[in-house]
Amino acid sequence: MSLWRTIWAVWGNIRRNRRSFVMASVGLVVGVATGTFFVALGAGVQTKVLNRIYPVNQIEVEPKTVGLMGIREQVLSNDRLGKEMVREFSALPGVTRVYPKLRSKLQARLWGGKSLFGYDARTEAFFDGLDAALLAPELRQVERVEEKRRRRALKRRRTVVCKRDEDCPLGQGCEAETCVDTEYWKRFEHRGIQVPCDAGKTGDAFCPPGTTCSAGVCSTACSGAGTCGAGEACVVDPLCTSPGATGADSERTCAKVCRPSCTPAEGCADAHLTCVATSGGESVCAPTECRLADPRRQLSDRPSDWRGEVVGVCGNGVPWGDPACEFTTCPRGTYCAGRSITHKVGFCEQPVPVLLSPFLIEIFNSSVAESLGLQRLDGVDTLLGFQFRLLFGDSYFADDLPTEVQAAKRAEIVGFSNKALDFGVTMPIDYVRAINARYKGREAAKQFSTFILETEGNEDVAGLIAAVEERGFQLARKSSDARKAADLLFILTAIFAFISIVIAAVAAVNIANTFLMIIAERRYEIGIMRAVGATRADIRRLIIFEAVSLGVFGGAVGELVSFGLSRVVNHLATDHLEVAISKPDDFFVYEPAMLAGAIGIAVLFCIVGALVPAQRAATTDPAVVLTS
Amino acid sequence: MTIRLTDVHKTYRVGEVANHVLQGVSCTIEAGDYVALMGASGSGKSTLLNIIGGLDTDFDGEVTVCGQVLKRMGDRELSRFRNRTVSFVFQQFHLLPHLPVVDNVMMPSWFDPDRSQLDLHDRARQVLAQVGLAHKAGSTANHLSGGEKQRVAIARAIFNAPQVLLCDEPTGALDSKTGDMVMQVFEELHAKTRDMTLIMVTHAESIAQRCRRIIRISDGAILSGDA
Ligand SMILES: Nc1ncnc2c1ncn2[C@@H]1O[C@H](COP(=O)(O)OP(=O)(O)OP(=O)(O)O)[C@@H](O)[C@H]1O
Ligand SMILES: [Mg+2]
Repeated sequence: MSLWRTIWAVWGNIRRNRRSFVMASVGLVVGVATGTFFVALGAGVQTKVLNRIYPVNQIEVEPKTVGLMGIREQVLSNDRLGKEMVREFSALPGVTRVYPKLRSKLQARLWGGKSLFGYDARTEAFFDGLDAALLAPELRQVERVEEKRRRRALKRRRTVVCKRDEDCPLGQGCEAETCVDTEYWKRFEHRGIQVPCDAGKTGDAFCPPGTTCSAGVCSTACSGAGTCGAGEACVVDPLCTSPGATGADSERTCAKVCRPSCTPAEGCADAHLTCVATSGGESVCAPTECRLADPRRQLSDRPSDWRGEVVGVCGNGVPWGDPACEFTTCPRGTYCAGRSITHKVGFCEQPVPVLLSPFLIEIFNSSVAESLGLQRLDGVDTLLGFQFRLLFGDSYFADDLPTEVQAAKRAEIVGFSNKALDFGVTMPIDYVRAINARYKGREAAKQFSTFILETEGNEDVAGLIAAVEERGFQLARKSSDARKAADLLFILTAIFAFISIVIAAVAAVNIANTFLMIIAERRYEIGIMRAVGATRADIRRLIIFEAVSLGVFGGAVGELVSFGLSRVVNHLATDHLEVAISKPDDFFVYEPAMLAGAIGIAVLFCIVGALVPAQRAATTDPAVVLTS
Repeated sequence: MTIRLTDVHKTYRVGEVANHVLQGVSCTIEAGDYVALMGASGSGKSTLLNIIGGLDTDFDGEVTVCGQVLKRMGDRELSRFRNRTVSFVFQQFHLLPHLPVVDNVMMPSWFDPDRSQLDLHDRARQVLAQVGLAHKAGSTANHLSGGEKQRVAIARAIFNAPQVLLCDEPTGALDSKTGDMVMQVFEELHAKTRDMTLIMVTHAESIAQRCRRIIRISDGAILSGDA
C-alpha cells in the first residue's frame, strides 16, 4: 500500500471516527499541555528571572568562614584577597573573566528623597563597589536604551553642537560634539572624588593604592615622562601652586603627579576638572577648588547652597584676589564637596554614580511605602538621575568618626542591577577603594571581599566551584542561593514533566482501548481488505498511521492549549504580581526542540497504545470474518 | 487445468470438539469453467471456497491454483495471489459503506504496487459499465440497493481481471428478481471472458442449472459432478 494511499485511507478513517478520535486524544492533550506548560515555565523562570539575578555562567565566591564559639572566622589570611587572587582565579580552567568586588569598610548614612516623598528619608548606608564594565550590558537592558534610541530617532530633533554637558539643554549631555539625551548607564563609571590626606601626619597610608599624598589630596604619583597613562602628563602637582589656599601648610607636600593633558581652548571633558597651565608650561586638567560660605551648607537641600564658589578664577576676568572679583559657582552637574563636613574648602565634584537593587524597590513598594505612608515607586524611570547624600563616618549603629573626618558626598542613581547590594547601594569599585583607603587605610582598599568569576558556559561551573573551594573560598550567599533556586526549579520542572508523562501514559491506555473498539467495528472492512490483497503489514501500518496522526493532533492541540494558558498567566501576572523591575513580560520560553519533543512523546505513546490493537487487526482471520 | 485439489482435509477445533468438515476432497476444475458448488448447510462449501481463494491456509492436503501451491506461500505471496489471481464475491457484499462506489471498485488497486495510477478511473468505469452501474460511480456505497451493492462487489472482484472468481451465495441475500439480474451479470461475464473460472456456491437448484457443471458436496467429500 503506497504512502499516499495509506494517508488518504487514514484521513478517511479519522473523519469517520471523529468523535472517538477526539475523545481518545483528550488525555494526550492534557498531558502534553501540562508538560509543555511547566517545562516552558521552568525554562522561562530560569532564563528570564534567575539568570537575570545571577547568570548561569557567573558565580560569586567569598573567603570560607568557620564558626568559632559563635563568631565566624575567615580561614584565609587577608593578604590572599588582593590582585594576585584575581590573577589566580583568571588562570583557572574555564574562567573567562574575574570581577573583584569590594565592600565598604566604614559606617555611613544616607538621606534624601524630599522631592520624591515629601520629606527626607534617612537610613544607614551600606555600599560596595564593582567593576563598571561588568554591569554595562545589564544596565543598558534595564534602562531599555535601544528602545529609547529608536524612539528618539523617530522624532528627529535639531542637533545642538556642544563641547561639554553644560552647553546642552537639560536632560541632555554632550557626546561627540552634539547634544544627546542622557543615557544614565553611561554615567556608571569612575569620575573621581578627591581623597584628602595629611602628608605630615600619615603620609600615603590613607591614600588608595598607587596614589601618593600631594597638596593635601591623594593623586597618582609619577617619576617622569612615560610613567603615566595615555593622554596624561607627568607634572608638578598644579594644586601646589594654585592661588586658592586649600589647607594647612603641612598638607602642601608637592609631588609629581599624573594629570590628563588638555589645551586651554578645548578645556576638559569632565565637568569637575579645570584646564590649568603648569609651571613647566604644559596644560593639564586639575581638580577645581571651591569653597563654601559655611561647611554645613553641604548638608542643605537647596542647590544654590552647595554649588559653592570656585577658588582661583574670577568670572569677570580680573586677577584672583582683586576686590572686584565676581565669583563663579561649581559647573553644572557638580557641587562643592568640602574636605570634611567641618571644612569650608574642597573641590567641585560630580555626584557618585550608584546602582540600586530592583529588590530594594520591590520591598519598598510592597511594605515600606505602605507602612510609612509614602508614595509607591513606579518602575525605573522615576528614580534615574535622582540624587541623595551620603555621609561617611556617621552611623546609627556604630560610633561616629570625629566630625573633622566625616565627609558628605552627593550620589546619583544611574541604574538598577541584580548584582547591586540588596540593602544599600553599589558604585564603581574605584570609589569604594578610595573611601576605604581614606578611612581604614591603604590595606583595606587592597583586599577584595568577593570575586565574580565568569565562565564560558554553565558546564564549566561545577568543576570551577570545586577548584575555588580548594583555595579556601565558598559560594557567596546570593550565588549559592541562585544555584539552589536553579536546582529546585529543575527538580520542580522535572516533577511536573514526569506527571505529564504519567498522564500521557494513562492516555495511552485509553488510546489502546479506543483502537480496540475501532478495529472491532471495522473488522469486516479489515477482512475485505485482506481478501482483495492487503498484507498483514498493510493493516498494521494503517492502524499505526492512525495512531501517529492522533499523536500529532493531540500533541499540537496540547501545545496550543499550553500556549494559550501561558498567555493568560502572563496577563494575570502583569495585572496582579507586585514586583516592579525583575518581572519579565513573558514568563515562558517555548523552544522549538521542546515542542517537537512533546509531539514526539505524544506520538510515541500513541504508537505504544496502538501496538496491541494493530497486531490484533493484522491477525484478524478474514475467512472467519467474511463467511459468518 | 486451473484448480486441483488433492485429498484436502479441514478440521475446525472449538475447545475439545473437533469438526472434520472436509475429509479428503479431491477434484480438478479446468480454466474457463463455470461451476456450481452445492451441498447442505454446514457441509463445508464456504470452507472449501476460502481454501481455494487463499483466505484459509490451515488445511491438510494439496491445493494448486493456476500453478501456485497455496500451502507453500507466505502472507505476502498469498496477499498478492488474492489480489491478482483470485477474487471473491460474498453473500453480504462487504463494501466499504462510507466510500463512493468508484473507490470501492478500485480497492484492489490499493494493494497492488505495480498498478499504474493513471488508468485506474478508466478501468473502474469500464468494470462498472460491465455490471450496468456506470451511472452510480459517484454514489456512496451504503446508499445503493442490495442488487446494486452486489453488482458493485462484482465490479470490484473483476477489477484486476482475476483468473478465478469465487462467489459464496452471491444471490443469497437478494430476492429472486434481483438475484436473477445478478446471475445475468455472471453469465455475461462468463461469456465475455472465456478463460476466467467461475465457482459459485448456491442452494438454489435453478441457479445451479444455469452453470456448466455442478459439484455436490456432502459429509466432507465430493458426491458427484467430478466429470
Ligand atoms: N471458524 C469456524 N470455527 C469453527 N467451526 C466452523 C468455522 N467456520 C465454519 N465452521 C463449521 O464448519 C462447518 C462448515 O461450515 P461452512 O461455512 O463451510 O458451511 P457451508 O456449507 O458454507 O454452510 P452454509 O450453506 O450454511 O453457508 C459448519 O459446521 C460450521 O459450523
Ligand atoms: Mg457458507
